Amino acid sequence: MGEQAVIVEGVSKRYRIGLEDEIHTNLSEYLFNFIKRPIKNFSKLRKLTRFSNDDEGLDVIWALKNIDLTVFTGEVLGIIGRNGSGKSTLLKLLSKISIPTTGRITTIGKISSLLEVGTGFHPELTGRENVYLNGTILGMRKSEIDMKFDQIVEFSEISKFIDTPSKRYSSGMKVRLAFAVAAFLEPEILIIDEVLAVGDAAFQQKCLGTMNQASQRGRTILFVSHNLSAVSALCTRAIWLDQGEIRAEGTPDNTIALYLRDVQKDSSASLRDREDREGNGKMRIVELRVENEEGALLENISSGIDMSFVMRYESDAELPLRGVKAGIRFFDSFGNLKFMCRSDITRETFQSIPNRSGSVVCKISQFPLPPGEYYLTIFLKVGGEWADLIDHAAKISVVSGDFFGTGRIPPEEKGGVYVNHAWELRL
Amino acid sequence: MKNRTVQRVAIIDANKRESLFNLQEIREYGDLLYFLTLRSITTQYSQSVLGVGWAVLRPVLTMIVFTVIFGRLAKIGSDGAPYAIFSYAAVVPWAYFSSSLQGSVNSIIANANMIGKIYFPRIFLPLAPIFANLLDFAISLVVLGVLMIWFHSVPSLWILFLPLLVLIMIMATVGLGLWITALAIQYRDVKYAISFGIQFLMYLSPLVYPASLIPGKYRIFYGLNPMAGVMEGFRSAILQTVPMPWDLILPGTLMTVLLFLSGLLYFRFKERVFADVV
Repeated sequence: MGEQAVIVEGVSKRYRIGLEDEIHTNLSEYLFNFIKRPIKNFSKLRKLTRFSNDDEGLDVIWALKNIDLTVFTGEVLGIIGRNGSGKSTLLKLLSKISIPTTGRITTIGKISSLLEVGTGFHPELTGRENVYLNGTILGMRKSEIDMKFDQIVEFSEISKFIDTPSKRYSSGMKVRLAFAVAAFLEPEILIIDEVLAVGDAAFQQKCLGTMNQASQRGRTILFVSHNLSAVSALCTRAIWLDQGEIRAEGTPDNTIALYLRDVQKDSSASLRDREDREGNGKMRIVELRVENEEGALLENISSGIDMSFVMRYESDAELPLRGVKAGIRFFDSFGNLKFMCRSDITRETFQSIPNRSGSVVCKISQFPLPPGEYYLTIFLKVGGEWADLIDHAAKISVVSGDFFGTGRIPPEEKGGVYVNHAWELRL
Repeated sequence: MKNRTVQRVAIIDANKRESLFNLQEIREYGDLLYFLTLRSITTQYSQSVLGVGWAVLRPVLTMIVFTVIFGRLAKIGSDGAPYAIFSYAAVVPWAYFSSSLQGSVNSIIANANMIGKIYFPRIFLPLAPIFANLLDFAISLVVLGVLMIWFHSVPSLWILFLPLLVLIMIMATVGLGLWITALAIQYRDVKYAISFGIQFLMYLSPLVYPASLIPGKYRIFYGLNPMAGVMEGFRSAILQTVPMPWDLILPGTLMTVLLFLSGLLYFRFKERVFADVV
């Protein structure tokens, strides 16, 4: 092994998450609370940063517990794990954004972190000004940017508009410019969050390509991702974080295999008891049923059938529940998103739900996935805030079916989705 | 691969306090402060017709309103100088002070997202508007010069102390600015309280009235407001209305040093947790 680049010793991070407010049932209680509120608010805000030594209250969570990790120069380390496993916290500690509660992190070499592209971009500034601002935020010197400026602009393909205020840019142009700045960073240690890889496929490719180049130049890279195939392709080593601890460590394929086995095991657990969920809990998904058109439970889904996903919810929040949005994301076993269904996109926001329990139903006609195993992420939003989100909420098995209704089972081809279509001949 | 001896080693330790100044870091990120300040300046007047003209117009309009209401109608004394230039001489440092404080509080709230996404010396966020406002300040000083010619006022020799007064003004602004931004990030109340607080402090400063109105035995307490000495000092230097008010400037300077050091200390202590509380 080469020289050490990052040494993490006994690092833990404690957060306090807000406890829910009590609900008042009558006016006097409400008034009393109204008067008491500032005092309570103050202690709540103050407690965000104050912990007594034995503070293990309900609202304290350890996002990371006693992490030890050494990364060597030239390694590309993938960090995988579910939502809430501590991946993002680890990145934030490594990038110095947040300070560990215990332990110590040593980094040897110039370090840059990319948790977002275009940090600090201001709409009123021109592209040129934003390049300099964003570049210096990422840790570059002005002289360094001067030197690379022409290359950055060329890479971004917007040279004609470089002196136009960036509020006049399309969102694509903004992202291209922001990414161009990031691509010309030359750190020895690079920390990347996969949220970077949002955007269109071409952009993702560019992103991963740049990472690949950087690693070939001997850079040390730490890479957080849900995209297991990217981790498998790019990384030389991977760790799996689970509830703030390193569960496994080793070659990417080994780590991924262990992680997937665990995910599959968990998908069978009841949704009601799942702990690895995000959101404020105003609505909780307690059951997910897969039904056919007649409402009967489906064991397997065959491609092309009309069916429904029924998300049963429960809620203790104040009624009615306003502005409820629901969604399901479908992933293959490598963590690639196949497609998603979101009620807000189909314009079916449930403006007001008067019941504490019920079901939100997503009807899909001609189920488009080819045979295989898929994982579902399901979520509910209430009033624009995340109420509940469960990754790997369920595993579904899809078996071959007559998608096109032609009596012919489509041949087994890996990947992709089926799309209803027709051919004709024009002469 | 570069020679490892030139590589930098950074240690983030849960138990170690950061030093008050991290010179290496300030050197590394120095250009960022420059561009943040530039951003503050260029965005301040963007998409406005008058642009930098506002830097002239605002204090002048304030002066006119003060002159009509406090000078003519309320007949507040001006130690013998024309009320217009008497009030303008104090409006210049006061406008810098109040808009810088407002700007630094807004800066940290407007950029809360940035704090959670990347590391850079947090102190640059409140400093940028404080530095950027120096441009407005300089412009209003030029206008002051024009007014002096217009009113034929002859400056006293004390004008040589003007840079010292400006230094006190900047340091007091930085000190107070650091305090309130560090508080504002956790307690958003500060954002709402700040405009009230500034108004309150305005009545405690010789803006529309001369400090000679304050009874002698209270002057030392009055001087604890750093801006009192600065504003009255401006008048003394430019209008010769009163001798240099050292009895106000001295307690003010002490207060300034105290605010500056404690503000820096508190900010450095608090910035460790900024990302966790925004």
